[in-house]
Amino acid sequence: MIKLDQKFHQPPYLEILSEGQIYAIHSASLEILERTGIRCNNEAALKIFKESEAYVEGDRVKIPPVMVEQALKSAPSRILVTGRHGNGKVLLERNVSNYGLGTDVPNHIDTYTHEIRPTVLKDIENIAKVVQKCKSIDFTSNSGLASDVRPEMQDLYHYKVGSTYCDKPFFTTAANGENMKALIDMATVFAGSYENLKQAPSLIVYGEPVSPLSLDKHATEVLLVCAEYKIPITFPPMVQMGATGPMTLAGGLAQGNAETLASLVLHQLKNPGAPFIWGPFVGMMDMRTTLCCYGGPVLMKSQAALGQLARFYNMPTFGFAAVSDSTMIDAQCGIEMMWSVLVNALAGLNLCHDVGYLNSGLIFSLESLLLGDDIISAVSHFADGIQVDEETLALDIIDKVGPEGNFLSEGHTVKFLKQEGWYSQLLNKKQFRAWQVEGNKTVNQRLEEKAHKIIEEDVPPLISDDEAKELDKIIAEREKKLA
Amino acid sequence: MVSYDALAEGVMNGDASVVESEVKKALNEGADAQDILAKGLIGGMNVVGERFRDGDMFLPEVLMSASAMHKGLDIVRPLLAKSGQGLATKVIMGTVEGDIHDIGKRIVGFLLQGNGFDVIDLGVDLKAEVFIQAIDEHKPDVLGMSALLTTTMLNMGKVIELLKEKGLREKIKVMVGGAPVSEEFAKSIGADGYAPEAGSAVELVKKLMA
Repeated sequence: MIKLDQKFHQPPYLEILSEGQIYAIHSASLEILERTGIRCNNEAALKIFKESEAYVEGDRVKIPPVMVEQALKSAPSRILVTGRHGNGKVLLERNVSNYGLGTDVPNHIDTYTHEIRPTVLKDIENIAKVVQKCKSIDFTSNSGLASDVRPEMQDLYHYKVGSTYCDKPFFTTAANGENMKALIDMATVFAGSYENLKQAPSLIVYGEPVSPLSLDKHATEVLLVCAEYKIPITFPPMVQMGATGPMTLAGGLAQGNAETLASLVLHQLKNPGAPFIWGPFVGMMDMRTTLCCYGGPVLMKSQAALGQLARFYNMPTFGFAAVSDSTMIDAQCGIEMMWSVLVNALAGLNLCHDVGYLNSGLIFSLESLLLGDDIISAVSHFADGIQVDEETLALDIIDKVGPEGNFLSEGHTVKFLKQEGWYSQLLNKKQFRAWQVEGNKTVNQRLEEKAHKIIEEDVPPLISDDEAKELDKIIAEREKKLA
Repeated sequence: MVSYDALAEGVMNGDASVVESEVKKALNEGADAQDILAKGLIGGMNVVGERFRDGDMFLPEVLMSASAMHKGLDIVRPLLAKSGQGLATKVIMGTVEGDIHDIGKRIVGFLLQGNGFDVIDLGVDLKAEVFIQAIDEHKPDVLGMSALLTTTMLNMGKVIELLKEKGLREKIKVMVGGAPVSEEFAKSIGADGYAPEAGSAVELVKKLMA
């Protein structure tokens, strides 16, 4: 994780909106909720809205500003998620950027054949193994939709396999309320009890409303279950400018924010004080190809705005980091991944997810994950800023070494060598002749080698046999119910 | 000799008023309604299609062209019906039960309309019976189904099963699409085709109807 603005020195901080602009967007969101409202396709949620101060006509819900204010007040501004066994900490709070994986990617680049093919459960196992070894990844997820398991049960299989080889906090989706309950039961196998899980959650959940302005039945079920059991959830709409939201970024942010706030209001009505992570995705649809763009300046501007709005609301926010529209690891991938990681840190976003996503989230690979890990480590070094004090100004050493001396064998050099320099695990830093001697290796080759080394290593499972049995029991019960 | 250049130009520029006046002008000059459709309206949309495929035109511009084209089509439609010439392929589109995502399906629908196809969009969260009812009523040539979730896409298979049950399967071509859908999935449920995005969906419909 990266902590900003917490040392005495001042790291850079990105602000793209003025205070007045932030308020204008907030005000616009309030107007959308009051004037247009949202459509609620979930019966239980509609009932909750009806019993509140919202104006409900049929399935259309209009939310007055005071309800938004109340929800923002009751929602916690600090959410701590810890991995099982205490491995990995995700602190969702102002100025802390936590980086991790995303959910549900349908295709995977086979690490041996390079074929883009449907994701299988084995890929999710491999992803877990790689995440466990990644030093800059704070939370894990499935980053895959296993095509070789029953679709209605995917989330449960993903969680079991993912947890077997990685014990960092787990970011998950759930198909519906019943699956969410099953996942909570599975997490409780590790936590010991619902109370323990509530006090120290190891799960973060992802769901979304449908833009424009719609709460669908199943996603809303999941939202309500998470509120009830106090499992941290993020519920971002995916506003595609010019398609499911206005073409203009300001309007897109206003609409996306309104959709997020409506979800927050419902969530807090269900259980005031339950943890919620704010933050809409507002990005462009490429109008030449209809691709929802994860790369490029529009989403970057949008994310810069998210950071400021989140601090205005004093809520932790969602972000998209180390993502690309490319179909492979190439120059496009490098460009798009790099600045998305950087913008997340500079904007102060908190749940910076989707690390390794390729082609707008349609493709994932072990290599893109490893590349993302390296990029985050570089940005982490950047965000650390410059330490200026007597020791780092090094005046005595400079005087001692004097004109035409060298610093290489100074104790001071050895002392500060690792923290002041940045050493990539994957990028080339050799002069070309030395690089040629080593075999002209490309970054892509090094990424593959590293991926293969990790997944070919025999590692013990990180869950006990008893825990595995309990998880299987819950999965079997759910299978039975679905039959 | 009637020239359709100005009419096609109007379509390419998405200018409905030019399209309407050019259609009326052509009719006054004794042009055949079928020629106006084929050479002017569809001719213009074909250029739009090429430009869109080459990345030279943007989707909203394409939709404006399609809308302008339809203003012209509205004028000639009664004449075509009179002369007994059927309009182009009829397509019914819908998002399956449990799913309310529809932007991708809408874009496909708009592009199909732009290519002169007759599109009926039934909406979202549609039970299998609703699809069947609409097919019974409108007798379309093609059924297009959309889903964004791996859980809801299974309902596409249910619709195809119901079509078989009701003896309607042979009378219609079925195509499917959506982010989690694939060629393999489409084959496994017995669909006639799959397209990864809107542009190729249009080509698929043309292929299915060939």
